[in-house]
Amino acid sequence: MKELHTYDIIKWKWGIIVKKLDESNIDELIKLIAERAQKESQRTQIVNPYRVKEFTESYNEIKEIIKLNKYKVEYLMYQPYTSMGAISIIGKDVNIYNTEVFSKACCRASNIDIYKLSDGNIKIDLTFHGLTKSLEDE
Amino acid sequence: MGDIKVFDIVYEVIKEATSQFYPIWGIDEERLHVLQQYCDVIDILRSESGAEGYTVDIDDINMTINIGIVGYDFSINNNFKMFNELMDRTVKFSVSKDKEFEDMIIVCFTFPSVWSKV
Repeated sequence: MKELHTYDIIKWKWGIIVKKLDESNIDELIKLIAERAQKESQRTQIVNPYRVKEFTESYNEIKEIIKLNKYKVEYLMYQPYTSMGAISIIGKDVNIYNTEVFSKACCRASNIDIYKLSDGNIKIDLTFHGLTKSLEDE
Repeated sequence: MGDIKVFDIVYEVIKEATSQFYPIWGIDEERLHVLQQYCDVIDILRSESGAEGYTVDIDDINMTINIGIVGYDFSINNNFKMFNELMDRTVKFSVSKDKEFEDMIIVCFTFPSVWSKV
């Protein structure tokens, strides 16, 4: 598993939290982040049309690229928090030949996570931040 | 693992393959230099994702080079732009399960050949 560094810096919208990470306080840190994200979600949010357009374009492009393969492409919008969304590709083995288009579709995302599911499939998650923005930030 | 550069492994594999491809094909130094730059990016991505190691092999027919990052998971946040630019230069991007260690995955970038006709 990914190594935990003694000090990890978590960039967060409201600043930077510097926290000493070890097994005893990792849960506490996750809880803190969840609480902050929850608080943010409760503020009045408006849809960020530019970001939503990027999200839908990426989804359509990825779906187009891999339509001939037996992979499942799905998306979740405004989850787990209103400002977030994710496009997922699920398959036994994922092979992408049209990398130029795939890269273009991916580059709008904020980050990528690839991992194995318990059913043996592989999942590629492209996370998009900023699908909504708080009115107070306007 | 921290000090191992993927290009060192890639270069050894390329040298071995070149002896098989010789005398029809030889290494194109310019292409090799470009591949070395891709390998530097792969080192950065492996380091960020905390992956365990590499796999390197060559497709004897297409003469393409497969460089895989092996780990339990693969997560890129800080160098995501770099990851995309690298993917843009590949001929294939694939993710598969490691046949030896089933809990692990291999994130593989396939690059064009570094050989040209002598």
